[in-house]
Amino acid sequence: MIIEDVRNILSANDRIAAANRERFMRWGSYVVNMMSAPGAGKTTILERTIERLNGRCRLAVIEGDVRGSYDRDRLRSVADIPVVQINTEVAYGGECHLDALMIANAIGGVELPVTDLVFIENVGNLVCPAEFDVGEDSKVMVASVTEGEDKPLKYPLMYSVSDLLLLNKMDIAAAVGFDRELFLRNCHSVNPALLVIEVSARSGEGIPDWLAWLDGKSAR
Amino acid sequence: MHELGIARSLIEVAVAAMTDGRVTRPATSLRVEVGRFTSVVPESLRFYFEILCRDTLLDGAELAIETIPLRTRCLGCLHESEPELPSLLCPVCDGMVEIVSGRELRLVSIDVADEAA
Repeated sequence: MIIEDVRNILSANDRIAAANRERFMRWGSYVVNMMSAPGAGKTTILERTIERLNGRCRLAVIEGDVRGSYDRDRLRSVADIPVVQINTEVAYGGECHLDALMIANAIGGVELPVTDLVFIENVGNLVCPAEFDVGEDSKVMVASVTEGEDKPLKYPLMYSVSDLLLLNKMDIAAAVGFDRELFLRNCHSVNPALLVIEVSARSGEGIPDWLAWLDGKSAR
Repeated sequence: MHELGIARSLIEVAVAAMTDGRVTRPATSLRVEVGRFTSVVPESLRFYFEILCRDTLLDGAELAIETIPLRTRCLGCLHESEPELPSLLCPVCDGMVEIVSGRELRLVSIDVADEAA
């Protein structure tokens, strides 16, 4: 006997993601899922972002790591905003990405009054996070000039699902011989619609452009 | 590594399909489609599936994985192609494309042991 019953394998994740999206919408939040390789600069960009936006709008962060709360501590030392830490090692088999259920559990006990912007800092990984909808409004990836120009070609799925790319560490681009034209060409061959903002979280270069992008999105 | 989570979801979805069909006999095989443009490694999925399906109706079932090619359609000239990754531009006019297939991750059917067996 054959049961013919076509079902999406990730349907459970997608259902939970839709519920998360609904919940975030009730909070009035715009939700950004930030993804990158380890060390590209997600947390440092968030530090700069929080420094500049805190007081101007209401912020919250969901931090995803396999273990530890180093990033939460860093962000909490910048501003007194809600930062929820997820450690996938504790209850999720050490998974290398965040999925919708982890986000649902993280926000389950939190009743935020009104939060304009929620940042979800995904686990540093260029493969797995690309596959999972967590209920975000935008997928923003961070790439740094030290990673090499070929990365869009090696991790095309991540580059193709992202709405915006923050190209970080531009202050040292010349020192590491970064070929900007080649990198952008590779980006656009896997995602012609990808918007790229060049930044340096350390020098602050380009951060205003990123904030303007956020402003345009969250003011919908 | 995320094949662990995907294998777990596959088992949930398959067990739910069997429960909905009021099937209580064990499954002998599952047909699954995995798109070429996903980040799923079939061998890895099979490995986790075999471990996680113990103590379910799927224990011992064969996992038949069909790989679905990446197919794109140009938004400009409508040319359809099966591009070699990673470039997703139209090979004819270099235009932007939409993905027609290759992102599948789905359970298609379940073979169940016959009543007499």
